[in-house]
Amino acid sequence: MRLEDLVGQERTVSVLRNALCRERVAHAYLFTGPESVGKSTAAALFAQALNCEDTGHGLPCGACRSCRLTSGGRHPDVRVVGIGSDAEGRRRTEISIDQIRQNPRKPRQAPLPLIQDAYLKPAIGRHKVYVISPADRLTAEAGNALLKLLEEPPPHVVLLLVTSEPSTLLPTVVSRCQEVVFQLAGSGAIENHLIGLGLSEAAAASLARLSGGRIAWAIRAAERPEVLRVRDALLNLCAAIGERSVPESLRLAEDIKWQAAELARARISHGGEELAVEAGSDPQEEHAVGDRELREELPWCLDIMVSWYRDLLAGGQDAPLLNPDYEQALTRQYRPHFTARAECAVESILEAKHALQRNANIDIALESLTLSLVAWCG
Amino acid sequence: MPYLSLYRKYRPRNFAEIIGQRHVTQTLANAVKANRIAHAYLLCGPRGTGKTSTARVLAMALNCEQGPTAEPCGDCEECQHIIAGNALDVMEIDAASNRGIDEIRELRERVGLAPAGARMKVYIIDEVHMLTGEAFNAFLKTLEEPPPHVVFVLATTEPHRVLPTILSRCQRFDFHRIGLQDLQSAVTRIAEQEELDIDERAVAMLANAADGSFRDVLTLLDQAVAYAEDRITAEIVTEILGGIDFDLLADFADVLTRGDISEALLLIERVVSEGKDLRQLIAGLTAHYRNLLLLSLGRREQEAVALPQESAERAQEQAKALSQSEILRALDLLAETDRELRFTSQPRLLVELAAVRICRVRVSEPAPMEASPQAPARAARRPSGPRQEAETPAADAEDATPEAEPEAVAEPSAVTGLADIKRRWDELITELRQSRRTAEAAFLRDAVPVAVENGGLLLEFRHQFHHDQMTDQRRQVVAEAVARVFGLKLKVVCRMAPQGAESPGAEAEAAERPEGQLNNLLSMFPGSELED
Repeated sequence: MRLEDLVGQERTVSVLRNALCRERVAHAYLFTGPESVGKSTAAALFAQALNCEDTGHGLPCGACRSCRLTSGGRHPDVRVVGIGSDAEGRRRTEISIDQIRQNPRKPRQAPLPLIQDAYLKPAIGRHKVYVISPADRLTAEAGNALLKLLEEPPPHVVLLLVTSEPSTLLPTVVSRCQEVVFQLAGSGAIENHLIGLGLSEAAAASLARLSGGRIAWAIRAAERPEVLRVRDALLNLCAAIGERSVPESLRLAEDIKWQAAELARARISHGGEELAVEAGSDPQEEHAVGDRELREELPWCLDIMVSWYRDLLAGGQDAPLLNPDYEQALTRQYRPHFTARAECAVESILEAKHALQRNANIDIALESLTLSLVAWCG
Repeated sequence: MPYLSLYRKYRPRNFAEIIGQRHVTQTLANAVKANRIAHAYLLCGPRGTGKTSTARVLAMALNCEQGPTAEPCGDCEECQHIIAGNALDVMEIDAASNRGIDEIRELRERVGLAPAGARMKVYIIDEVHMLTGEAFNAFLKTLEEPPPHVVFVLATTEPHRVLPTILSRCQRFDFHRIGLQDLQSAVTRIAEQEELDIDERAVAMLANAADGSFRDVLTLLDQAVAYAEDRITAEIVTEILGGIDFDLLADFADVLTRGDISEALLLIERVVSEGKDLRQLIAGLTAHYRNLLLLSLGRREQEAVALPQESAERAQEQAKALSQSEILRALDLLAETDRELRFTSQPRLLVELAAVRICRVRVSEPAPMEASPQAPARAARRPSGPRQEAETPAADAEDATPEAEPEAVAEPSAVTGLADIKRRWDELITELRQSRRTAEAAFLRDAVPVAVENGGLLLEFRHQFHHDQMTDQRRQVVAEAVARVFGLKLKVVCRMAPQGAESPGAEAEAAERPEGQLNNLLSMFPGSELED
């Protein structure tokens, strides 16, 4: 893969390519942009390109020894500083100061902390590259410890900070880096990419719209047919709210939960090794979907439902629909007085989402949502 | 020689090059001239304003072979060493990565040794706010009475995190954000030296985005250079800032002001399909509305908004078209959206929702004159925005008409208030919820405003429970909210809706609702009967 292959990031790529070609590589970059648009991939490729031995053939060439080492994660001069595990092997939530600088009270640490390591000459490459990702997880101490190095590192060092939340970084950190902004890809670009991966045009169009411009999400979803199925099911549920009898409508909560469980199950049996390992069991085994898995999937499900009511809101205004394939069902439910109600419905859904984030009981949150939806739109 | 970032290449080498901080540099230069150097300085101020540079220049001023002088030569051996960062007697310590008591003890031990070759030993302790409490305390005695050949220069962006006992031992200098003018001329000067081709307008935008930081403006310039093919234009700067350009923001604001929901949604569609970040759109709109607010408060354009002439004129026009309360409400909604955006996987939905809401604010704000025959009375009662011209877009009429009718029986002057209140009832509830009065908001959902009389607002409740929950205190809260939202001082009076008869509001509600559902509900609970 080359930098040029990043979907929908032409501007960003041209910045990085110019820096490489004109030999104006800054000592510190901050890759920012929404989640799942390819920041980490770009950081990996840029690290690879910085040490690529054959700059004549695209960036990076992908064939030389240095490139092969980097893409295999074995290059001695390319290091990823991320969220590590503590002494007992538990996953931390932050990048700690001990990963950044040698703690004088501790014995010499095994992978050398970043600052100490940075002052050593590169082993085989031109540059020592440090990818700090996600940079927003640097603790305040770690961020501050990084400042001096980030401002004036030795000449061979390039630091790549990757984050989707630049506003949570120390302003002193941000100001020392050249910011490279990644943007959401246009849906056309994503659609083409998905078709290139072998998806049907209709599915590609749907996923491209659902992805909201996040290519990595679209690619992951393309591997999981459930995503589209669940979306259809949820939209049909919304469409049916007015048409079902009240007691039947009240089963909506159960249905939403079922769809979320469907997604969770699919994820576990697909690429969900990470989850499975944590659970300490065989990934092939049928999983009971727990509370935590449901919580991870529900926000997305609720977002799909929001898109339904958003379309109802837009419906009276001749605005483009998010779910054009459901235009008929939407028209059936649409009534002129609906604007305020659809807005209330959206608000109830967002409220349910918040409640779930704050660890509310799933059943209660969904049932109360159902009640208000039936009240607003029944 | 590897490429050096502009902000490192153009690091100031003498007091004159430190821009926008005359109050600091002048004082220090005079102190050097008069040979009245204090033993400890604390430099504080926002990022990129010249703290570390000043510390280094001071070290050079003290140790320069031609010195001590307020104008270090920058060429002698000592100055060169300081610039390169390897002078034996100028210790630059990163307090953030050497923050423990052990490091400070080590420093203390070495302070007593005479300088290796230079006149003074200068300790520059950067990011000093990150020292631990123990380290600070261990440092106190040394900082108070260091040996005569030692000067400490402490630098930090967060002086409030430095112990007061440390603060009181230092001469403190506060660095200010650098003014736009200074930044602009600095960029122009450096662009000349680098032989860059840059538009004046682009310079202004860079300076504006840097928020008073010299380093930020040069980082941005670096970015622009990396992106631009040849000339650095305003468009290029807009792109690297990831921002939305003024015209689009102004178009958007126009659309929102017109209350044209469909056009607003189309604009969002355009922004999305261009791959722009919707958060940037919201941030841009927030900034834009802030500008409008400043303009409508009558601030002079130049200081309020750094916009080129024609943009400023357009903004001025827009500011005239909106009342301050409308702008504030839009800012509120934008801020809320900005918060919500962090938690969503579908930012587009939230942004669209915000647009719809702002459109509706606009629609409900000016008194819709033809909508009701009692307009003159209302105009007198309502807090009037600058615009009173008739504007009744379709969405408003559709919401207002079904409810406006039944009120015609009551006394006219009261009716005007009531119709308004009924139409904007949702706003009141939203306001209550936003001010964290969720309970009151919930109870009010059950209530219908039925009359405004004798300075009181009469609410009818459909359920006994909700009615009983409206204690004096809660009524007071609602009254305050009414005052905030409608600008009316009313006492809140509650009563139950008459049994059997549909309250007027409920009628309108029921009209929209398929009758079948009530029957359905009845059949679910056999033996029950409809209460109100």
